[in-house]
Amino acid sequence: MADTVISLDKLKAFWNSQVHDEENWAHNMNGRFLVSAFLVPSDFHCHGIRPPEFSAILACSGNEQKLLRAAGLFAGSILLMRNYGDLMAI
Amino acid sequence: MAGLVPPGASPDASKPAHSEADEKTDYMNLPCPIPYEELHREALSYSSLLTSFSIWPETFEGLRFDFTKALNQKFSLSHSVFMGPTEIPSQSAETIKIPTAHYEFGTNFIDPNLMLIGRVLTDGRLNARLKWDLTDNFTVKANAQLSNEPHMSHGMFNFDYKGKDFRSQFQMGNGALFGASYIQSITQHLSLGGEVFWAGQHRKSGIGYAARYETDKMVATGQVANTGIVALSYVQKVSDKVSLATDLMYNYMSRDVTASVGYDYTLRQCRLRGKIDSNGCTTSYLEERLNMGLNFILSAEIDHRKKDYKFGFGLTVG
Repeated sequence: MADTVISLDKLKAFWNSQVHDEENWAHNMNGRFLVSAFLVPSDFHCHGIRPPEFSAILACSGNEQKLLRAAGLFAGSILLMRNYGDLMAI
Repeated sequence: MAGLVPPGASPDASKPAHSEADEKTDYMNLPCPIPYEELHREALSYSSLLTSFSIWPETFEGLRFDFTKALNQKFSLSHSVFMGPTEIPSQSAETIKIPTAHYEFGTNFIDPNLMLIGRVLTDGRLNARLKWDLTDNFTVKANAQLSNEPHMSHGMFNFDYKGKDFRSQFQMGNGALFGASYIQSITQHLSLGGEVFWAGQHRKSGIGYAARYETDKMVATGQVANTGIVALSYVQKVSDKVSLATDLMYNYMSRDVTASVGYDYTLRQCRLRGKIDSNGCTTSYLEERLNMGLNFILSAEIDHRKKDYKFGFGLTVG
């Protein structure tokens, strides 16, 4: 039991140091982009299957994220209107 | 009177076959599509004349007063006063506004075949519009904006031909601007079109394509152009009083994108429209009918990102 508490504390400390610390967080986010940018090219092989975490979304720049957000708003609005639009009728 | 029914007629058996024939598309009898420039009329506003169709109102900031006096069935005069800040384009992200006030005198002549509209403002601008239906199928349109400032005056002529299931337009304007558009009904609900333009003064040309799918309940449009613009819109007619719309404007040259979602409630005494877009800008527009011919207008546009807040109110008489 005491060992479990110690390891939980260590996990919490690790989480806080990686997420709540600005320098480490920035390094982590950049690292993910760099890795995914390196791995996204088509000649990368991972046993024939591309790992899901290195998807196109991770490799997006700010402009592309803005495009995805706008496209998501547009498509989501259409789906909501078609399915639940009658609820707005008076 | 038993002999009234024609011999050989079996109405019960023929009715289902007749309705099936109606449901099948008669490709030789397609409806005439709407004009190319009005493709997005339910969703976007391309000109002040189409504002009543548009779900996106023209918001304003300040005070607006419009008075229209009809002298007879065809001719009317209008007086408009506007006081408030006017936004001027700036290079930086900050919004620059200049307080302005102007009075606008207008005349309208509206005939079934001829429409003439003129506006003159105290800041020296003159707007003029002409729409002349020469025949049932051929229309000539012209508009001009004249200004005291050099190189800020524009004029354009449009020649529209309406066919059985197509429309075509040719336009020419100052600065060696030429354009042509064509839109064709493909099925009862779908129409496709294209346009080309050439601006001689700037040595630029462009081509664009558009599609419109319309049913009783919805209208979906899409437009792409080689200038980098992709415009998509969708309008859902929920009921006679309520419409919901969404649109997406993307410029793949400048990587700028905006999506909006809006609503339009048309009630007995008022019309309420509003939208919110992906840049965090919220807009609302209310037209309240206080009395016959007397409308009160409230307009609001809040852009939290740019910290730009616009509130306007006005009165329309006549």
